[in-house]
Amino acid sequence: MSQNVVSFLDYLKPPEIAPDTPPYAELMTTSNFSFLRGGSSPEEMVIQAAALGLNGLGLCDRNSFAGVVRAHTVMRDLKIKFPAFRYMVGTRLVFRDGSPDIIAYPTNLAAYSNLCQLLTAGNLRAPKGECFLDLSDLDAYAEGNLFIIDADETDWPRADATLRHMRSIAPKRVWLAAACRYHGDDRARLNRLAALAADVRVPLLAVNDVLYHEPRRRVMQDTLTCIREHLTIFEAGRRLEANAERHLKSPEEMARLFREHPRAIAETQRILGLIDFSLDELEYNYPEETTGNGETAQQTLERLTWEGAHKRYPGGIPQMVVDGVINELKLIEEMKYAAYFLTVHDIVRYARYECNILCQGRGSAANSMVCYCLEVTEVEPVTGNLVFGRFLSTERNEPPDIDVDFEHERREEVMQYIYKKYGRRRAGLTATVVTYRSKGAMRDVAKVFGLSTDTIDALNSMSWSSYVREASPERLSGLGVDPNDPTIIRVLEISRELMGFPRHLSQHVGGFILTRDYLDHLVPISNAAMDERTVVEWDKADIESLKLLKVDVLALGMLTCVRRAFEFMESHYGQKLTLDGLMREQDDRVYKMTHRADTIGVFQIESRAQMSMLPRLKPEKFYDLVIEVAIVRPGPIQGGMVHPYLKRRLNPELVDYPSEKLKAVLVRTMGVPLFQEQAMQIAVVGAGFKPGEADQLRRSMATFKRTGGVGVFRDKFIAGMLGNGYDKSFAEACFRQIEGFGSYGFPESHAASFALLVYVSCWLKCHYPDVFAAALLNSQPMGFYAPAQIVRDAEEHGVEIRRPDINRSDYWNGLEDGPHAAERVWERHQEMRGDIRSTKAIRLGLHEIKGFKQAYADLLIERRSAGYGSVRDLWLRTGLPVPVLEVLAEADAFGSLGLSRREALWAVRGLVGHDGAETLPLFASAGVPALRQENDVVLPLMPFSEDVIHDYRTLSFSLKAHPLSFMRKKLGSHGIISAAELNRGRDGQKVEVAGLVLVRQRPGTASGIVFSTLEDETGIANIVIWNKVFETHRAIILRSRLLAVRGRLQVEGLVVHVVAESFTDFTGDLIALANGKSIGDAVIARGYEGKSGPPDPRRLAEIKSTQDNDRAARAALPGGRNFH
Amino acid sequence: MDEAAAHAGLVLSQSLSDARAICPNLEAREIDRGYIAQAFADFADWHSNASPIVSVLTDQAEWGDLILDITGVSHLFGGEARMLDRLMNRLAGLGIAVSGAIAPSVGAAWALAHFAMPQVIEGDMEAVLAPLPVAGLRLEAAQISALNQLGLKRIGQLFDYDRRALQARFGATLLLKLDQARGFIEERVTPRLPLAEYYTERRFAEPIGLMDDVLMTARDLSFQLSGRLEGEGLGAQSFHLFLYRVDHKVMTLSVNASRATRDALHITRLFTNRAERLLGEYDAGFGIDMIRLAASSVLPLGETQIGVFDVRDGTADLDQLYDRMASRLGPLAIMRNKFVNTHIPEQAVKLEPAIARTADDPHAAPDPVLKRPLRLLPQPEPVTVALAEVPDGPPPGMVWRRINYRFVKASGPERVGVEWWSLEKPLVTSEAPEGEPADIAINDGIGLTRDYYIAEDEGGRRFWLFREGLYGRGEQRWYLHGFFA
Repeated sequence: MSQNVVSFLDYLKPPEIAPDTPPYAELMTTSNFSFLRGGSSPEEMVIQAAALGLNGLGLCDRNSFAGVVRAHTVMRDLKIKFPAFRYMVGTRLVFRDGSPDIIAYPTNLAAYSNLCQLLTAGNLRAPKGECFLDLSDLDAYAEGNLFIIDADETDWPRADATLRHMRSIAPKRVWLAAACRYHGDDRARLNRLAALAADVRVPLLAVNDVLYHEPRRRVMQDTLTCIREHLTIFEAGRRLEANAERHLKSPEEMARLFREHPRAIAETQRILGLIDFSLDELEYNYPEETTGNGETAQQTLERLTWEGAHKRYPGGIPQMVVDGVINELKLIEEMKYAAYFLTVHDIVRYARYECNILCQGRGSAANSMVCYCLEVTEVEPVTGNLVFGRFLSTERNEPPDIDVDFEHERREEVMQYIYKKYGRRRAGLTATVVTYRSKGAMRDVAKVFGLSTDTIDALNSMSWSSYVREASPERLSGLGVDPNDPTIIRVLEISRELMGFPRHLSQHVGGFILTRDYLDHLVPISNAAMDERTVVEWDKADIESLKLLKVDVLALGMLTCVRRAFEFMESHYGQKLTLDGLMREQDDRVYKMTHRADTIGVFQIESRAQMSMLPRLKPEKFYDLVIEVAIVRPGPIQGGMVHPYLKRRLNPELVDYPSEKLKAVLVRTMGVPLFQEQAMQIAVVGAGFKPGEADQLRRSMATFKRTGGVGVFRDKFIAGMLGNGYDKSFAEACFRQIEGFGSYGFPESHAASFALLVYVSCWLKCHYPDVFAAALLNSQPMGFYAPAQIVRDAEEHGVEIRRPDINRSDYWNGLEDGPHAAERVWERHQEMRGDIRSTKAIRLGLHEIKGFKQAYADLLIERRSAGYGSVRDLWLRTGLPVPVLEVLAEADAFGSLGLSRREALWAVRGLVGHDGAETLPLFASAGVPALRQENDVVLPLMPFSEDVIHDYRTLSFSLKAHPLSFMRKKLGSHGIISAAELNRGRDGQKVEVAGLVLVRQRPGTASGIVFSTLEDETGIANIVIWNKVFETHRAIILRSRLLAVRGRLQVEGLVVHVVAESFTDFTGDLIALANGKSIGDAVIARGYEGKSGPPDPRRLAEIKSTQDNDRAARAALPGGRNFH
Repeated sequence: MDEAAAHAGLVLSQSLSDARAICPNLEAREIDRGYIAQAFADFADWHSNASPIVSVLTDQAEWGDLILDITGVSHLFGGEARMLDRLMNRLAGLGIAVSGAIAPSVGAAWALAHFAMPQVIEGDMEAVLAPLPVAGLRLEAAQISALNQLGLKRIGQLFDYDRRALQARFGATLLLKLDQARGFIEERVTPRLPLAEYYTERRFAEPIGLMDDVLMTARDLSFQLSGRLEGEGLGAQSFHLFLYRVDHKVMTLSVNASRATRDALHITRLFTNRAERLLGEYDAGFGIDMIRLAASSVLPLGETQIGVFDVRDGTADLDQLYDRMASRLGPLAIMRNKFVNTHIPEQAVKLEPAIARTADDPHAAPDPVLKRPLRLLPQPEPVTVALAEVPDGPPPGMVWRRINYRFVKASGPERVGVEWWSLEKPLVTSEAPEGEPADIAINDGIGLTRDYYIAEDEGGRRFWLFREGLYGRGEQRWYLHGFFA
């Protein structure tokens, strides 16, 4: 959206209107929350209406209240400048029985509830995203509502009948809408409508049936119509509007258009007068959380808190904690949030004690003493330097914010508990407005303009990590797209505009809204995509804006991993671990491990950027981890806060504070603002923002992408800082950081909870790499690395990994007795020798085999008893279909039978057909398999290299060898060194290194730098590719599976990078080798090169058959994960 | 995919954008499937000159592999080796990549043609086949990959294995294909022209050259074909005359009828009319030694409809007239009106060839609410209008071709925006300059909106005129666009 809401407001002035102009309010508007119909956002509508001098605007989207809160929120800011402007909540009722549309406006809260119930009824009987209404449904819910009938001019009798029906159920509350359509007959039409209105004795109402706030949006509206109807713009023809007249018009213009029907204009004012409803009136009652023992919620909360405190501090509660708890409880009582805390407590209790699900709370309110005592969080606010001043902001009167993370696979149980406890009519998930992102917008717009799929793909490949707006002409021509082509320009232009438009409503991952009264009196409810769930129409921001309370029930993969690790620890090492217990331990060796950036797989600090930060930041205590989690984020990076902080850590003498006042805010972070809370506090303390303004600033940051900037605040912020005597550069840096938070804010309160999981996962990895790797593999997909790297990292730490086997493996990865890992640690992790306590080997589970379903594994394991003696035995006892056995054979899972991959495959493929009789029930029930031995066959031996590639194909990694080991000789002859050798290089040295591309990452903040990770048989090489180099070589970088990089070595302490200069793609050589080219393949005839001229088709057949093999092998090799 | 492309690093089944990334100045055009299919079919047909049984195997290649049963014909070429050589050289001479082989079995010939040098083999096929890849057996992709997985990559490796073991693992088709290739099982090929009954042909002992002779033959063939079609109660919509020249080129003359027919005179006339237009391009070269007339788009045609084509009846069939006029004057000479779905009045109707009628767009029918004049001027003509009421009042009168008209009644406006997507200028959707009306782009940046009025003058004449451009936003001009009566 190009309209910058905030800055627009700033220069918006009430227009000058001729004194005798009759006031006008637009009551028929369709915003972009009537998906793919309206061409403007609710915010734009309201602002434009006010700017044009209308004295009111009603928003009425199709069978929905989804957009009403946004307009309402903007109205709050608008009120100051336009006190007389009114905003009305309405909806356009669209019927499936062919009745004309009816716009409904509630006059009071009860009427609004009626409409919510009506829409809920329509939603619940329709599939997701639709609403089925009949005119007769209205009878029961008409009370208190005003109705405007939008007559269908091709069916006058029906309009007449509908009007009469409505007049009978809502006497004196019905209007007939009239709009100028510019079809050449407007005068006649208006007269005819007036006659109809007079006949039925209902008043005529002037409207403009608005689809967009200003005429330029016709382009957008036409495009949306085409997207909706799956048409190209060239064939849409008269299905589009003929002109651009359906925009908001000024009172003068409306008065002129309706000069023969002035009453119709005046009626808008009468309607305004009748409506006495605002969303602020929504009476919201949080469910009472009483236990039924006569206590109030507050009393229960206090009791539980003190009970918890005694449990937390068995040796006596420190005075500091007592004071903190008393303060917090007082505040909670004042704000009446006791019930909310009890809800969270109950959910956590249910998950933890009834289902044994690991969970952890976070968020500003979660990091309170009360939550710590209630066991909602495990991070003690007092220890680890965490000083949370106010955990609830009284001035802002903002609802408390607690998110609870659960194990990602078991969150559904918790959600169903909530539904069960509160009932469907009292609990609903919040919605997520799915908006157009750059790719989707581009694809849809390009289709409207009839671009070919290839061009669309090319354009989309451009936004690999960036937004369309960055499309430079050079970039476009590089993709084979003509940047001067008017169609291309148009597509880019419109898709840019379309970005941020809502596309449909979806359910939020886990935000619950709970009420004591019926939820459907508050907001329409609809079915979710998943059964057993219901969703409200408002999203997180809407709910916050209306100050409704919400509990976020989120899923976190790392919790699943940690729970599994704890289970392994108990079953295989006999240790019972808890988050809290580990947290108290605070093991130095764990922190030492992070200094070497040995963090593959651990929570949060495993990314390349984090890994390069660790050796510099050298976390030594818990709070350092909190900072580590928060510092590698867009906010601090864009604000230029990272280097000053690092410098001060190295040399504490550099620490100083801009002022005494700000010292209180910044003392924890050595004078450098790193957290979102600090940025907000600087705005208040440093720039003199009122808390309300800081709140606005925060909101504009959250909608930063949608509104395009925070310009007004910027000036005010800088001016305020300068006025209070702060340095200009400091002020600017602070503001840049605030902007950075817009794209991804990271508050301290979240960082603290995350840091706990960071610590716990590091602890596991440090002492029990076997347990950690097995649990992590069982929780895939998650995190940054593919199973291959996790497996390899475990091997490097001395853990023995054993391949999946039909007689040994469970479905999940498990542990078996194995060697002492500490003795097998690789050279580069020697330092860990003393820390590693693992004595188990990992037996990979059958689930690592691609395409092998759990149901089959369960069957196989269930019938295994003492083990399977042969392929035939397995087949007869399990009855698994042959293709499934083939999957096992291809994955080389018959090792315990002494069968190689090919032998197993041969045996499996022989099961069907030639001894089909054995599958007859007669033989199966007799239990005497009629064995008929087939002569042993001798199959060609599979070359080792091919074997490894097959491992990659079926498991996505190989335990036998690294593919690059087959290439080493050849690479050596090119002067390419191994990753291990890099560590012995010196800074600035020219090197060339090759490896499988694991990851390509372009962090949003690192000014376009691409980080890539290559893996060879000796280790990992970290590549840094500058933007310019990347653009020149992007094709090869993105395409290669095996990439050689030539560049300059950059050594910074332990961190070694190669700054790339040029690239070579070795994928082909690797594949050729893997296909066993030199080993026994037919020498295919080359050429028939008698004449020049057309190419020889035999050569082509050869190319094609090689390419088929290549494709298969290429697909087997990891493609590298792209992150941004 | 040719070698130049392979050299540039392109591979088959690559997405175009990937290919472009590798080879930025790649010029991509969509493959003309119809054209290639037709060309391939033409080649296949043309080879009917070399052997009576020409077949196209389509299970392996996208367009097909050409199979000729040369039993008993190779002596005409002086032996098999020379036959292979001649056929291949001729195609190669046309710039076509060709590879071929002659073998006792279709399977062996196919394998050799695809994976070996051109050759003629007679005896021991196993030895010849053994070193070839298993893909030479015309197997399915799944079979090939299964064989490869087990390390069985060459045909020869399969000879050693127990047949039952092979069948169990790779299906009976593997054995079938293997046996077919080795010649153990005979393979039938289906001749390519299954509709042989719908063509007639005549061969000439002495090549003919004159157009008149060609047309005369066409007439004779028409009667023969017509008789055949009548016997089966059929008619056809397309007729093709193939002229086989002695220098191995085939000229084709096709005519289409707008409905199925088998009237020999009508067909002859269509060819005659068509030939008149082709006279300049007609080139018999060294002579034509065979002419074939074939019918396609064959449909059932009942007895009763024969009368429809009786011209003496006086009920001249419009369609037949269209056919004849179009074949004589060219298809673009006979046009009819067709509605187009657009708001722009002058584009709402277009002409299309009467014989190439396309389906009507149901959304294109005129909207009854919108009044359209009986006559539209070919070009809107500028008129002078003084003092119309602002902003969108009707014109009180106009000066057109220096004559003054005073209007007594008028209605409107009907507002028609420009089709912004067809303009050359880029859009101005984003920020409007501050202080200017926000919608300036619609008029000046995107294009001019028209306001149409119906106006009646004192004499009762009703005009359709429009003002281009809205008031208050730059200049406006008035135009007369049509007349109602």
